Amino acid sequence: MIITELSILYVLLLFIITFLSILLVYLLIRKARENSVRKRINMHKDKYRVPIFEYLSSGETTRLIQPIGKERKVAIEELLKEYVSVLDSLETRLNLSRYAETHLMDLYLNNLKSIYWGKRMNTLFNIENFHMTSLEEEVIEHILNKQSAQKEEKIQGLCILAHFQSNSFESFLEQNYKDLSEFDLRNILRRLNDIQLEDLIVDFDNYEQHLQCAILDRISLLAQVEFVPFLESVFFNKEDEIRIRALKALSNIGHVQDIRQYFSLCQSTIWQERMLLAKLLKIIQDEQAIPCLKKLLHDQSWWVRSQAGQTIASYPSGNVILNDILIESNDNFAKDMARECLDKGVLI
Amino acid sequence: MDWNTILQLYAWVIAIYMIVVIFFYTIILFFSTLQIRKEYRLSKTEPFKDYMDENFTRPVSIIVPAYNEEMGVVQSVRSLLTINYPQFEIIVVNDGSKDRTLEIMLEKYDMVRVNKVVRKQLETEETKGIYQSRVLPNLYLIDKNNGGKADALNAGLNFAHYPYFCSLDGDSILERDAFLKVMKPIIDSDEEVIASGGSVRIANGCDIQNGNLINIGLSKSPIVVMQVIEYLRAFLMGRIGLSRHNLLLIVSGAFGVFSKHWVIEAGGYKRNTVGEDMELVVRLHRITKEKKLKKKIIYVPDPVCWTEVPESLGVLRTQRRRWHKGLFESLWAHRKLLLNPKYGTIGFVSIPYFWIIEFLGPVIELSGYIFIIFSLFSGGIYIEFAILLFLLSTLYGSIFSMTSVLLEEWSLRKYPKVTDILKLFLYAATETLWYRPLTVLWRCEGIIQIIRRDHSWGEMKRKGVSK
Repeated sequence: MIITELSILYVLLLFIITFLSILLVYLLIRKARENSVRKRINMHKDKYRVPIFEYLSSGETTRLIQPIGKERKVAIEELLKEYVSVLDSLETRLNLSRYAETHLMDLYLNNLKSIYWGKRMNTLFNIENFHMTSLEEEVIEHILNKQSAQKEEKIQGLCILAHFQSNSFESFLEQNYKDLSEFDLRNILRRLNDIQLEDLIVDFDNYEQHLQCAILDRISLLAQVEFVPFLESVFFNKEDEIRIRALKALSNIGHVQDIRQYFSLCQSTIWQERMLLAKLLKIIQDEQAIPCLKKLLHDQSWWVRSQAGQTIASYPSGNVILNDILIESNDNFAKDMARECLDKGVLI
Repeated sequence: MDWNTILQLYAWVIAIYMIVVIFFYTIILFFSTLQIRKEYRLSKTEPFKDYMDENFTRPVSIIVPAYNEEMGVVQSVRSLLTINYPQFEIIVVNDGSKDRTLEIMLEKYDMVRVNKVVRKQLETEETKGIYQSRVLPNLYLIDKNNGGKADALNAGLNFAHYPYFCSLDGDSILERDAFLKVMKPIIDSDEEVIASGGSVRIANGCDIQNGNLINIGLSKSPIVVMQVIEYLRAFLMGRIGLSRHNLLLIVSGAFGVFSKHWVIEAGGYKRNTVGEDMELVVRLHRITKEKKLKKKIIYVPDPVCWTEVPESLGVLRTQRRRWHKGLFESLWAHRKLLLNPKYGTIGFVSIPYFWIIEFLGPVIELSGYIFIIFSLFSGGIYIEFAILLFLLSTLYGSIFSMTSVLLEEWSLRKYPKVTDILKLFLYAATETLWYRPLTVLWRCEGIIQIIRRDHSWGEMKRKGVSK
C-alpha cells in the first residue's frame, strides 16, 4: 500500500525539482544578462556625465547627448537623478526639466501604463523630481482618474499636482483625502506654498479633522506671520485636537496678537496646552508670566516642567528664579528640573 | 499490538506531522511571495526621501548595551554615527564592564559627566553616572552596575528622550537607510504599528570597513553558507508571511524598532531570560490584545542589518541550544495564551505554531532520523517507510531552502554574482543530508538541558566583522 504513496511523492519531488531547476536556470541567465546590461549602462553614464553637466549649466545641446535606445535612456535618467539633488539654480533646473521632457517622455508614458506597480511608482517619483509638468495630464488620466490605481500611487499623484501648483490639485485632494492618513496628507501638503494654502483655508471648515490637522501642521512649518489671525480664530473657536494643533502652530511661529489672552492656559487641564503656553512664553517674553511659569515648573507632567524650565532659563532673571526654586521648593521634581536647566553650561 | 504495527504507526505519525508542516509552510510561502513581489523593481531610495524631513519622521533612540566590549564598542558607535536618519541619539549603556569599555568611550568621544533628570519608569540597577560627548551632543553613555542585557536596555529606556527606540548588538552592522526603512511602516500607519523589525543577513564574507558595508559577498565556509540560507528562509518565507496577518512573534534579535511608550507600558525587558526580544514581543501582543487595541507588529523584508554568525560547529551548537532554551522560556512564560480565545489569532495560530513546529519540530524530526537509521539495519518494510520519511524531509528541508534562494534572487537580489546564487542553490540542496540533522540534534540537546534545568547560557565568541 505504501508503494503508491511513495510513487506519488517521487513524482511530486521530481516535478518540484525540475521546476526549481528551470527557475534557477532562468534566474541565472537573467542575472548574467542584467549584470552585463548594468555594465553597459555604467559605461554610458561615464560617457554622458560631463556633457550632461555642461548642458545643464549652459543649456546648449550637443549631438552626443541624444540618447537612443533604452539603456542610454536609463543611464540618462540615473544621471539626472544624481544631478537633481545637487543643482539648485533655477536655470539649471529648467534645463533639466526641458531635457527630461524631450528625451524621457515616451519612456515615461509607457511606464505609467506598465503592469508593474514598482515601475509606475518609480516613474511618478521621477516626474516629480524632474519637474516634468507636461506629463500632468497623463498623471491625472493614468493614475488619479483610474479606479484600479493603488493608494501609494494616488498619494504620489497628489504630491505631483501639489508640487506643480496645479489648478486641479484641490479637487483631487477633496476626492481622495478621506482614504488617506494624516501623515500622508501632511506629506502631500508640505509641497504647497502659502498661496495654495490660502485656497485650502477657505474651505477649512468643510474638511474632516485629519485634513484640518494636516493643514495646521503645514502652516506651522511655513511659520509665516500672515497666518496668525487664521490660527487664532481656529484656536479660540474650535475644540480638542484642532485647538491644540492651532496652538502648536502659533507657538512655532512665535507670534500672537495679545499674549495675555493666553495666560488662562496656565490652568488648562490638558498638558499639551500648558506646555505650549510655556513654549510661547519663551519667544514672547513677558515678566508678568513668571508666576505662571513657576507654577508650570511644578507641573505633574515632565514635558511641561521641562519646557517651563527652559523658558525660565531664557529670561534675563532666569538663573535667579531657578536658584530660588532650588533652595525654596519642596518639590523634588521641580528642583531636579531647575538643576538640569542651570547646568546646561557647555552642552546644548 | 505487535512491534511491527507500533513501528509502522510511529512512522505514520511522523509522516503526517511532516505533511501538515509542509502544508503550513506552503501557505506562508505563498503569502510571502505575493508580498515581496509587489515591490519588485521599486526604487530602493525614492520611497524614503520624504521621510528624511525631520518634521515628519519620529526621532529614534538607539540603545547599545555594552558589557566588556572594549574591543568593539568604539567601532559600533562609529558605524551608527553615519546612519542616514534625520534625528536620533545614541545611548551606550555600560553594564558594569570589568574591562576598559568606559574609559575608552570617555576618551575617544570626549565625554563629560552631565546632570540629567531621568524619568525612572522601569526598575534597574543603580546608575553611577551619565555622560555626554562634547564633540557629538547626541551621543550619551550611561554607566551603571551590572544587571544583564535586559537591565541595561531598561536603563537605556529610562533615559531615552525619543518616542521610538532600537536596541543593537555590538556585532551588527546597519545599512545606512536601515531606520528609514523600518520606521516607514510605523509612520505610514499613523503609529498603529508599535514594533517593526527588519531583515537580518549574514556579514561573514562581506567586505566591511570601519563599520560600513562596502561589498556583499558569500563566505567560503560551508557552515556560514548554510546559515545564510537558513536566514534567507526564516526571513523571506517565515516572517513576511506571519507579519502579514499580525502573527509575528519575533522581532529579530538583531534589529527592530519599538515604540517606547508601549514597551514601558508592558514593563520593559524581562530580566534573566535568554530570549528577551521574543519575550517582549509576545508580551506586547498580549497587552494590546488584553486592552483590545488595534496595534500591529510588522516586519520589513528589506535587509537592513548584517550580523556576524558562528564559523565553527562548536559555537554554532552552543548558540542553537541557547536559542531553543530562549524559545521555550518565552513560550512557557506565556503559556496562558495557548488556545485562549481572548488572544484571537495569536492564541490560535502563532503560539501553537511556535509550540508545535518550532519547539517540538526537532524532536519529531530527530525521531524520523532515528527511524531511518534503524531501518537500514532491519530492512524489509521499514526501508520503504524510511524512504518516505526521507523524501518528506527533503521537501521539508532542502526544497523550501532552495525555493527561498530563488525567491531572494527573484525579488530582493542582494548577492551580486551569478556564482553566488548557484552556490547557494546547490548548498541548499544538500541541507537535508547534513546541516538540518545537525541543527535538529543541537536543538534537542537544548530541550534536554531544559529538562535537566541546566541554565548555563554559553558564550558566543566574536571575531569582529569589521576591518
